[in-house]
Amino acid sequence: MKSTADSADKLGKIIRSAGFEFPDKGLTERIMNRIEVATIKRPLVFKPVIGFRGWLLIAVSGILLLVLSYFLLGNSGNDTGTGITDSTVLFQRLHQIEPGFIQSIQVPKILLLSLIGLLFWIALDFLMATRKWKKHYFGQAK
Amino acid sequence: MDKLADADIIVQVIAGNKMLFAHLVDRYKTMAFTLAFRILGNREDAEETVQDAFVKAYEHLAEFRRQSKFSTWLYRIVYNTSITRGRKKKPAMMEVDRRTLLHEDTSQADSLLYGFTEEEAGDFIRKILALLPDEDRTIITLHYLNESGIDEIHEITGLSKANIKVKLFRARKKLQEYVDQISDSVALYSINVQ
Repeated sequence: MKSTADSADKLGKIIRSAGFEFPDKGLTERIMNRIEVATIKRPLVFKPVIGFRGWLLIAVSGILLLVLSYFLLGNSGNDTGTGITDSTVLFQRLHQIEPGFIQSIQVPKILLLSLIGLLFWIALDFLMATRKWKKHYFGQAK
Repeated sequence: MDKLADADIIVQVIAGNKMLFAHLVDRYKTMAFTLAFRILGNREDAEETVQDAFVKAYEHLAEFRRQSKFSTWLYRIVYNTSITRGRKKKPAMMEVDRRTLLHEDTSQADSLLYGFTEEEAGDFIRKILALLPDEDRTIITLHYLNESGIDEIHEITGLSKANIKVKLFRARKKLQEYVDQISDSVALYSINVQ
């Protein structure tokens, strides 16, 4: 074992004896001449397109839309025939809210799927943005 | 001014004192040049690579996050720039035939046993190192000349730590074989002379 260590040490000495390679004189000046015309690039600061308030607004709008959909699209008996639900019916229903109201909500499938889809993309975007942010500030994502 | 720490110089350079960057160049140009030369095999390419690397380092100085030493960050730039240049200019790389080395450098090997002149030693070791693959040569150079540990070599080259350990072991073994072969041929040479 000792002979292996000795031989590694001897090898190290031999390699070190070759020493460094020295560049020609004036390398620093040549580099500084190029530095004079170069500029420091400022790092890009990641700024999300939609901020925290934006996401909050989207979430509140989504919930609001879900609740209102019960009143606007949840029944077929009070349609005015023009495609627009009579607003008086909406206000009547708002006054009739009872404890079992949540269970009675009937959300149209298409709206539910759209909302699930929207929430999926929002979550995905958030995860990607977080990853990008971490990578930018902390180097390679681990 | 020479005693200013790298971090202080970097802060001042980013603040606009460009000329202080010359201190960083002076501190690290020799190792940077040695590293580039070991990868590329010729002085002209090595010098251009070192220039490019320092300019890149300057341009991206604001992105240096100080998680590692400035030298480690710089040598990584030098390493990557050298590898990129080496790929473009592979045919120009210095190739040394092992047989030629063994037969022609007996006199140098003789000096290995009875005392090298500095110039002979450098020339001889350069030729032996040239027999190794690029990555092995880089690892050996960083390990012995820059006294880098496995972690630092990993940061500079981007190779996995396990891979570095294996390459370092193999490179040492190969170099030892070359040195032993030279020693043997010197011994035979001495017997024949007597």
